[in-house]
Amino acid sequence: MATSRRRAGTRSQLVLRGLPFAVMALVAVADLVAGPALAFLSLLTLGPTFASVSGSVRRTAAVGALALVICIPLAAYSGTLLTWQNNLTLATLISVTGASMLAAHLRLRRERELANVRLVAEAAQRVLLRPVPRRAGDVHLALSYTSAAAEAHIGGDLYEVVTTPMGVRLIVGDVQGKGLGAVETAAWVLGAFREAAYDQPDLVCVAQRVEATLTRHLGAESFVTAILAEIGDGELTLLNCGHPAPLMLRRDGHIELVTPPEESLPLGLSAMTSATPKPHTCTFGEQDQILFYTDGVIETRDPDGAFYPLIDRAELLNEGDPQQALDALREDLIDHAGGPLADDAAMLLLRRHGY
Amino acid sequence: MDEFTVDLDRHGDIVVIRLHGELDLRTAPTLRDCLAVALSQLDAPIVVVDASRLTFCDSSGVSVLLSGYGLAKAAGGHLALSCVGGRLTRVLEVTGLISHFQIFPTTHEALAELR
Repeated sequence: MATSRRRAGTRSQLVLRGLPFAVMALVAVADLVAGPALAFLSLLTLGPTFASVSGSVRRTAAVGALALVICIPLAAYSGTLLTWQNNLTLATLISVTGASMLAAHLRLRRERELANVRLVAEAAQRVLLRPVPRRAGDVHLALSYTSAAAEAHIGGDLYEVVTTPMGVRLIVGDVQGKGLGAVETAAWVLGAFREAAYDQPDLVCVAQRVEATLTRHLGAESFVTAILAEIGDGELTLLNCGHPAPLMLRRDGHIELVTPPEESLPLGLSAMTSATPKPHTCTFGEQDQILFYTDGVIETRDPDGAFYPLIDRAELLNEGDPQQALDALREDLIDHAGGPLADDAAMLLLRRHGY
Repeated sequence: MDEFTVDLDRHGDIVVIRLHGELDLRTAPTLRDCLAVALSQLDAPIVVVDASRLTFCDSSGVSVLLSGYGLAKAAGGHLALSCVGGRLTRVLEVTGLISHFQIFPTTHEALAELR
């Protein structure tokens, strides 16, 4: 989709670049056919005006000069050169060219500013949501992030994978709500997780550190659903804080949701309970895969309102390397939605010993 | 997409809020406003949220219910749910909040119990 949009963009650029010349040619022909009485030549001002929409200052000036070069011989041919009417046309051409050059200059300055702002925004997004390593120990990873916000790469969904002295630890989460407020909350969670994951002995302590950060910064009713995981030898420790259960795809083709034995509240709601979340472990052997995802995936609906049947489509994950497999699933999800997603959708796939 | 509407009924000292349709990020403010009205009507407000006609609820919906629960408690009152099913049950289960709300099978039973 992005490529076709880019192609359409280049095509409209080409049309815009040719437009001043096409218009001036038309005006010249019309003047030759209709004669000087109808004063078509003043319409040559359209040349530099259109040029200022897409071209540089120099290009706009060149098109303005070309308009003069067309105007003078045509006027001489029809015998109107140095008449009051033609002098006025020439003066109009020169002044409109000047104004168009100024407009082009201002437009270009704004475009440069916008490009700079976009660079800063992209850099900030990369700091917040870093690309995950393709491999951590004997586990291969793949990530798919589809933001609902146009042009943005981040939203309220978050993820991080870090390799610590205690093993590989990860978080996948979803901030309740949308917009820049959700991005800010995601930044708090990620910051706390990155710090705590390296020095806390277990996932419960990591979650408590994230919880403490959120309690400081979050309103009473806002929350973040998240799942934390630690990859061990042949097993996986999970701590599910109110997040949709991840999907385990076994080597033998068996697919199951890994639900916690006891549900825990989302992060940010510790004021409601004195209970601490309880971790649980599951086997994660060679060739097993596990898919972490956010609400946006299972709440994506087709035009008839049917939810995306993730479990039925999970077989797509058995093809190719993890990133190819996950890309195929994402394509399928976007096909199901039949357009842009209504919510952010993040998916993180882990596969032990890629095949 | 379903339209989201709320009906507000007063049964003595108890306010019953019936939800119809889909409660999500888009429609959550409607319920938020309605809860604010319900909670301001009484000194120690008791609110029953009837979810029998609720067809969808996401985390934003849960957030509004939570805030209503908190506000009712802060005012010395109570907020309970009734006729919780399908999607709302699942959301409350996944988020572990199902044990934090008082949930009645029917609004009738809620009224009898809370009166």
